[in-house]
Amino acid sequence: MLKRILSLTGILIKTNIGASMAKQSIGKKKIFTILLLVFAYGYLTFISGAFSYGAISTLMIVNQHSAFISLVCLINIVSSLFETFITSSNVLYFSKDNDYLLPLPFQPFEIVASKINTLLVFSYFSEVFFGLIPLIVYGYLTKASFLFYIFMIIVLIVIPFVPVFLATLVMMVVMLFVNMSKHKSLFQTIGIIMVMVTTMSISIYMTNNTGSQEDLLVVLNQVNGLAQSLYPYFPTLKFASEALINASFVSLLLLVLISAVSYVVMISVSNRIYFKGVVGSSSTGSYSKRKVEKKDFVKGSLALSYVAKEFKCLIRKPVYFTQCVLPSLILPIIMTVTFSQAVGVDELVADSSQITIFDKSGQITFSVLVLICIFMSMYTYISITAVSRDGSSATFMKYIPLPFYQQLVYKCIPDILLTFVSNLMMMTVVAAKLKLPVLAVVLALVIFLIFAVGRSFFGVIIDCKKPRHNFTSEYQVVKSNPSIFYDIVYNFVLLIPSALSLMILSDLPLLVIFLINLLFHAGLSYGFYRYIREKDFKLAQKIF
Amino acid sequence: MIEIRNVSKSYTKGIKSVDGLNLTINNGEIFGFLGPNGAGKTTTIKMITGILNSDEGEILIDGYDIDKQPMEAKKQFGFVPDNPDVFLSLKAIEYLNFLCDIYGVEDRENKVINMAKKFEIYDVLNNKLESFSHGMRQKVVIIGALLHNPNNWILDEPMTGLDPKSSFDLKEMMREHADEGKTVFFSTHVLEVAEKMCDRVGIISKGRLLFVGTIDEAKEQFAKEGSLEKVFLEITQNA
Repeated sequence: MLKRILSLTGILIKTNIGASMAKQSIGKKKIFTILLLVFAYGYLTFISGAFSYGAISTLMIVNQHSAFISLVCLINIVSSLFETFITSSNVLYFSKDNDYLLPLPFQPFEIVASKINTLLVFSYFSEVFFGLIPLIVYGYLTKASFLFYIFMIIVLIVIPFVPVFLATLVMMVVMLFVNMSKHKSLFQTIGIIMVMVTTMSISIYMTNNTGSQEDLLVVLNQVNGLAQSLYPYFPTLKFASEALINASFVSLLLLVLISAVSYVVMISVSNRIYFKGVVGSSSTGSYSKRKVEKKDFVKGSLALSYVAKEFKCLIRKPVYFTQCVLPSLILPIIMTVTFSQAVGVDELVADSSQITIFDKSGQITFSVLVLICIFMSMYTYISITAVSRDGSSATFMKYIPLPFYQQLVYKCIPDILLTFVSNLMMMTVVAAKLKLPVLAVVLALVIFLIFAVGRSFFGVIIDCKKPRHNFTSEYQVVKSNPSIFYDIVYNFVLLIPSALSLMILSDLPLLVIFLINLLFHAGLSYGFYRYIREKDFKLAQKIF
Repeated sequence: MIEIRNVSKSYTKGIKSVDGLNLTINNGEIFGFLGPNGAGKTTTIKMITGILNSDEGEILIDGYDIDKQPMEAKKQFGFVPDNPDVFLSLKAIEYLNFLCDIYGVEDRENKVINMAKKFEIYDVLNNKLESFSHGMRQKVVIIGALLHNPNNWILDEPMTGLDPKSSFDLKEMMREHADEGKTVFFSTHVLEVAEKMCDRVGIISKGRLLFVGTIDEAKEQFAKEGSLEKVFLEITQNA
């Protein structure tokens, strides 16, 4: 029985994450892909480590570094809770594997246990950055004993149990009562937006209150207080914190015990309610009674029709909307709100007259804004998944009488439009508040637009070369697609010329700097366009 | 008219999925393409429609080479793939409108409504394809393939998932299409359908075309007293 559960868990993890990624990276020795992964994970490790180092060092000054442990435990519980809210519907209900699993001779609890194990494993991935690295930094800075690291591993293994089970249970109960076949897209989208709004609020709250080292201390103490106030609701939070802070064996034992009991209870409860929700989640359901009217037969231009189709497919699938579209909008919005609310911005505005005098012609403003926009577009995954998202429909591109390169260009337009519009909004707020030179802002946006075109072409080229249209859940197209690292690296690489422009060219007139940037980015974008145009036959080869 | 001349395709080096295929499907005929699983039927259809490129040979559709003049060649056919899961986030009417824009279909309202009524999906056109059953999606894809009234109709396992009435209607439409002097090329596993509908059949196994001709010719040649099933088994098992 245990062997069957473990075997099924392994298969579910592979199908949800994508076994092909591991196979290609190691089996075929794709060194470049491995380097990309190392770079991307190295970057996240650096961010996590740097934040932890700063926070622990600050707390050590006032001898309150143990508060950091509560903070880490709290963050991991909250992140497991949110992540499970987002992923559980895909893993439990909207995954294609349900159609194959349900008729197989598995005991219901074996399927339930395997699905829940899969969710637990998912939460371990984020735990690496939110838990493992911060605690290692903590252990290093506080010169912790070997026992701390043993406790740390056990705590990190069991701490997601309760939040994952709670989120899963909520999802299962909701699925019992909501007509999911009709509202599933709306339900998923609302859920994920709520998570993002919460994250934004936390970000804004932190920004408003962390101007100096003293502010950071206050916030960390508040978070510690919050963690303590949550102890009655998340007993594992208390025991996990105590086990690590005091090296308490009893607390560790209680933590493991509670988690084990909750696992058994969860399997038992979900065994009763899961299948009531899952049977029928893929059914066709009822239809809208609105009949087609004359206005439904509007003739459109080919380009508009194609781009509209792309937008509809992108926005109507909750996973694509939340993973591809929202990041392009949310990051600039967070930055805009954070900037307009941040402590100290008024002083900055007061000093902006000095900035304007210093950067009268806008050379520095121009280069800094280009840098910011390039950085902000790093997490937009629309073009890099444009072909893969179509799944089995991707063959459609090959049998319709429309040149392949032209379709690729149309597929890039949503990415270009969304990243540009969101950055335009952000720049408008920042420029208005800081009274930045208008010409410099406009020219920076022009350069960014051309950059966005090149970046989109680059993304779609990579997606054609490494398509990922065989998936069991749409989630894999973004979450376990190694190609997105190419996109991140592309942005990083293109930050270099802009940084050089800031350091070396800032003595030149603004228009000269603009022209140099224009030539560079336009040349790059045109080069990618020519590649798409001339090699479209080759690019289409890997699509089925 | 579809002309396939000496076409070969390999996925793995040394193993030909389609080997030196020569075939001409004339105007005004329904041609059934038969063969066991993995015989090379879908690979052939993918090469005819430009989804896959052939390693050798040429494929002409109404005289246009699918590799050298792909746009012209693709305008000459309507294709129904074996999997009707196409752009499931779109509503049926949006999908059909999109195809009308791609193929430049005139009088789209009448064409869509007439065909949708024939296949009994007119009332649900305003719903997303993801809410449709397999058979209903198949109907939408079939309508989409016929909107521009192509000279050549290429269908990969078209009867899969269709209810008896829709299956009958589809067969009628295929007959009407051929009677107008146009070409219908379809693959199927259902030998009864091939026997009743096809003017000629081609039987492929292990990538090689083993027989081309009428059903009567096949019976005469391979199993005089037998059914098409016996003929099929004899041809493919002795390959």
